[in-house]
Amino acid sequence: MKQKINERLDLARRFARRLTEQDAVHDELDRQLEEDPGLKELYEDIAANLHAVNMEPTGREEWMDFERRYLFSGRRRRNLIFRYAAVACVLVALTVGLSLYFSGQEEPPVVISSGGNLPTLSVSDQVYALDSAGIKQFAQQHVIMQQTEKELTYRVDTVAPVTPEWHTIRVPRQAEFTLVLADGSRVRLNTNTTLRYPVPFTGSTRDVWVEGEAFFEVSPDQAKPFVVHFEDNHVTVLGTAFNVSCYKQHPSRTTLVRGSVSLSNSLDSVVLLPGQEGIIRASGENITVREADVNVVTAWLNDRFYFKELPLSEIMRTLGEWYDVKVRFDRESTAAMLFSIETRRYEDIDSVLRILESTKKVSFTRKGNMIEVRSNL
Amino acid sequence: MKASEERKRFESVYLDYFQAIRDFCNSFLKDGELARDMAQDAFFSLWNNFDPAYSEKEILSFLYTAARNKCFDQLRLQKVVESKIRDLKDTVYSDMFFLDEITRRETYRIVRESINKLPDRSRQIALLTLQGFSSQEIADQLDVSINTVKTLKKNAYAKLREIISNQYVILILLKYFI
Repeated sequence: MKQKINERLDLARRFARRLTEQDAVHDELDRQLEEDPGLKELYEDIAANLHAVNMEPTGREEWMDFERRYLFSGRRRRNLIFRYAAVACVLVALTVGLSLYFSGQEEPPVVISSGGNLPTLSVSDQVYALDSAGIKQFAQQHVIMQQTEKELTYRVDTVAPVTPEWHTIRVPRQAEFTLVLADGSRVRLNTNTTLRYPVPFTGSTRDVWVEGEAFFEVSPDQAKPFVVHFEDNHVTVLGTAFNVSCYKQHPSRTTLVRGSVSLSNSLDSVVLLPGQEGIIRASGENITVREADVNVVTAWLNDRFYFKELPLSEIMRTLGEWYDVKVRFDRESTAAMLFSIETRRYEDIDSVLRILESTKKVSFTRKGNMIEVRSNL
Repeated sequence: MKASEERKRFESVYLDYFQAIRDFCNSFLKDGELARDMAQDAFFSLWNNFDPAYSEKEILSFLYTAARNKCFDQLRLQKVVESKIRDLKDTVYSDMFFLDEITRRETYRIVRESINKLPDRSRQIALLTLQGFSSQEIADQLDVSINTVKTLKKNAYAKLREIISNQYVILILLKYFI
């Protein structure tokens, strides 16, 4: 066979020469073609389709993609959110009270990681802290995991069927984490978020469960749709980048950045266009679709807060979640005051509160874990 | 050879052959993204077995064979939407299909590689001609006379043939000197 392959490699060069000959030149090739009708048919087919061939040289970004995916450098990857449109993002909210029909087991108790602010990975009943040391030992055949401080990458080194395992990642307050799944999909997890997923994906769809907030960039695979589940809802990825915010006891918000997703709950199903978001307030209600400000929704990806004309109650709610504090307002009208503010996600809440105070409209008093808000007007 | 030199050498192998391998995979799978993944997998196999001393033919032979195997794995796992490959299903496993596809992809690769070695003007003319435009259409597009086009074409193709032949001659010569 190797010999035959080499013969064909030579033949191809002679075909190429023949194709670029303007005048009919009777040479050895012509004789060969006359003697072998099968070969002649092949040549004529190749010639007939030449006009449709892409003649552009392969761009360097193609190599860089290969390098990134296969030749791990060990260095932290760049922020790849808006890299190229081939990636689909799915945000799925995982509900903590997930039905566990996959494993049929009891949901393992919520682990308070000893590291306080460290994300954790649970597989069966083993819990690993995802610290800077990385996952040292992991026993699942054919599954290779590489972890840096803020990112965990999966690879499956065989195309043979592998028995899947359930993995759960929990990201605590004031932390975030990036996951690269075995199919190449990238998931950025925001604070206070849990993601549950099978490794590797088997079956006809790729399903994950989320609660909290995550930004998905899904690897396109037309044969295997990527579905993000949160509570009774799910987002089916049709090739896309999107953000899902679905914290418990809050309306969920699915924002589409690029591509196309279909968002469904028990009652309703909508297809979102880029720049739109679907709000699900409660189970059993229809989905509300409206225009989104993508920059506001994805500010967290750049480690920023971006509140656009929001009532103070909502702003303080988000800050309260991130910094783990409670908030009390002196009056209802204070809570209803509208603010627009865009700032870094600081280490401590005081820096953000100072920015709000600089508007001279409100003042804050901090008593331990409780923030009191007073109107100056 | 240093690791970084080896990587550089591999990078140029990748850039030179990737498109051909990807198109090759696509003829088995009829799925652009999947074909791209399989092509990358094939190159990764090459990387794991890479020796910079390999000749072009050895590298290409390896890549086409590895790519075919990756595609077969995909087909066997029925990861490909059945309806897309129904027509090809019986033929796609044959050796004849394999060899014919290699011939096809290699022919296109060589033409592409050679065209991209031409100076800009000649490349432009050659591309337009290959794409099927008539001399008159090209003359209109470039806003020159049809005689100019005919001359430019003649020169471009002469250069192109030289490039292709030189590669060929070099390969023949190498056979004698190695």
